[in-house]
Amino acid sequence: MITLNNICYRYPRAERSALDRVTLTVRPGEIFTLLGPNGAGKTTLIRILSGLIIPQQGQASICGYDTLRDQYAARQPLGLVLGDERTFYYRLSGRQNLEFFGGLLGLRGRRIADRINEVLEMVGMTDSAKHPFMKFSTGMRKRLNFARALLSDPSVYLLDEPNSGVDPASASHIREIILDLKKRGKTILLTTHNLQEAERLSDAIGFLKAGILLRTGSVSEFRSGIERSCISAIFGANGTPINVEMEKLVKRIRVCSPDSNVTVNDNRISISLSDKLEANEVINLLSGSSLHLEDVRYGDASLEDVFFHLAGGGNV
Amino acid sequence: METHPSKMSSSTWLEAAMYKGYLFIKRGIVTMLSYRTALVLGIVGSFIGLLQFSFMGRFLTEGNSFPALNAYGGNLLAYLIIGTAFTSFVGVSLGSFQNTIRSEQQMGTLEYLLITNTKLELLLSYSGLVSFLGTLLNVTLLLLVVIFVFDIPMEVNLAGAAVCILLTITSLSGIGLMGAGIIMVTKVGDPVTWIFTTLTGLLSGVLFPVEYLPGALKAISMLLPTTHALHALRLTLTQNASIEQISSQLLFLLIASAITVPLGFFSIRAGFNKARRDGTLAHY
Repeated sequence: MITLNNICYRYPRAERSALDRVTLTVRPGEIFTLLGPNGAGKTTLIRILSGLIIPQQGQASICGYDTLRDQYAARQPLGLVLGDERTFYYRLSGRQNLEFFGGLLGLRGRRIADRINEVLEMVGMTDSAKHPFMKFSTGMRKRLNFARALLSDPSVYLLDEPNSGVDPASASHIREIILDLKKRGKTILLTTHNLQEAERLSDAIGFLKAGILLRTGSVSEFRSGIERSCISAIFGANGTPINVEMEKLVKRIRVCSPDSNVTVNDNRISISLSDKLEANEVINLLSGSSLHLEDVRYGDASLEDVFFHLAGGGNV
Repeated sequence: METHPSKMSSSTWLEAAMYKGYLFIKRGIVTMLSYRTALVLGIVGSFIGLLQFSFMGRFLTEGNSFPALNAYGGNLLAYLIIGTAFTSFVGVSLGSFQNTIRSEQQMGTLEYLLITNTKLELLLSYSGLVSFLGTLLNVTLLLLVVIFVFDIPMEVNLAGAAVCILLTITSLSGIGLMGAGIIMVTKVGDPVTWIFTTLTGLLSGVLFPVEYLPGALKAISMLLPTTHALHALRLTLTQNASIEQISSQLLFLLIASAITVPLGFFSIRAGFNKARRDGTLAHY
């Protein structure tokens, strides 16, 4: 189990807190996904749980062990995957890197050789691991990073964007491994920007924004935050100044549907309708705008709708 | 997974610690051998440096005598070569911890090393050990060349020299650890190591005997562990001095170690904890 209780952390000279009174519990055997825009505090939270950052306030624990007072015990059941691509010794082969880190984790002799073979098979790198790390592609590096986390067969995994920058095949492979870990009863805290991935993998989701945990719940609970129907529209460039036109469009939508919630993120408008009957009128407004409408979607709220509403600062 | 250290027997703990040391040595050798060009250039560079000193030594000794070197057998080349070899140990003792931290930060491996539950002090000691062994190999080769190729008379007390080198490394490593603790906070620039390196080069008798220093500087020189270490090392390598004969220097180094090592470990722990509070462990 992972718990965070009232965690506060502010980087030196930062204008605002990276994490502000974050309280969170990830139950044993659960995949909990943290969503949030860049700079929301997801990676800081993972680093605090790993004991790599000391928070100014609050407690964090892994399997009941305080990450500061009993660092050693708290790290024992931990598998960590940070988002950085370069976390191995370039001149060593993939296998030599795993031997090195496995040895430091306390594996030795036949046990380490067998375990390395197992994890390499799990991440699909049995043949390629003999090559130097510097020759690996991004996808291979990410998978090797995952293999290192698997080495000691920990009961808790902290996965910080394990799929960022990898091709769909590698991403799919990593997702399969995560699901397999869940089947084996492992507890996983995952951060990702891939909403489909979050929807597919998660038992529970939390949304962080500017260091504040705005909402937590199961995927369905999370979505049910928007009980109203949603319209999402994406506009492309057609020579018209997009910001000015978007502003005009939002004003018109608010006149047409005064109780709806409208949020704007770059070239995207999300409208949470207070009345379904207003949908046609709003869609007409969107399609009649001088902007180039690339895509429009109408239906029940998706995780993506929730993300954009929360990220955009709109009240859902 | 590894058992908690407090629950291990001392022999199991020692075995595990030695195995981890072996892992670091193996990693160092694999990495070093992969940089073949740099390795060859490094060896060639060492020998070029040696040649320079040998020519300089021969030039200076022609028709001249150096009474200040009589205590070390009077051979200028041997004097300079030992001084140069000694500075290699000083450099590695003072710089290896900082270099290790910086290198692990650049590789992105520092945070992963820390979560393997290997104590920070051990991680640094293992990395330092790899650097010390490399330097020891390099220096030994140089000295062998000096003795056999240039036919320089040396009367070596190996055991005495080994004890002297060990205590030199220990006492200076404490200062190196202090510097590494500072670098964790400042990221660039460590006044402790800088001051100590500069003072060693100038005042410890690396290239000329400390007798030539003016009074105040000579007094400072006598406070430096490197001055005593270098004097003792020269005596063991050129005059076959026994451990008893260099006991006062060894005692000085022992006292210096007793002061610098705990301070060094305190400094590195404080530096790391500050970096953890600031969220800058991986920053450089």
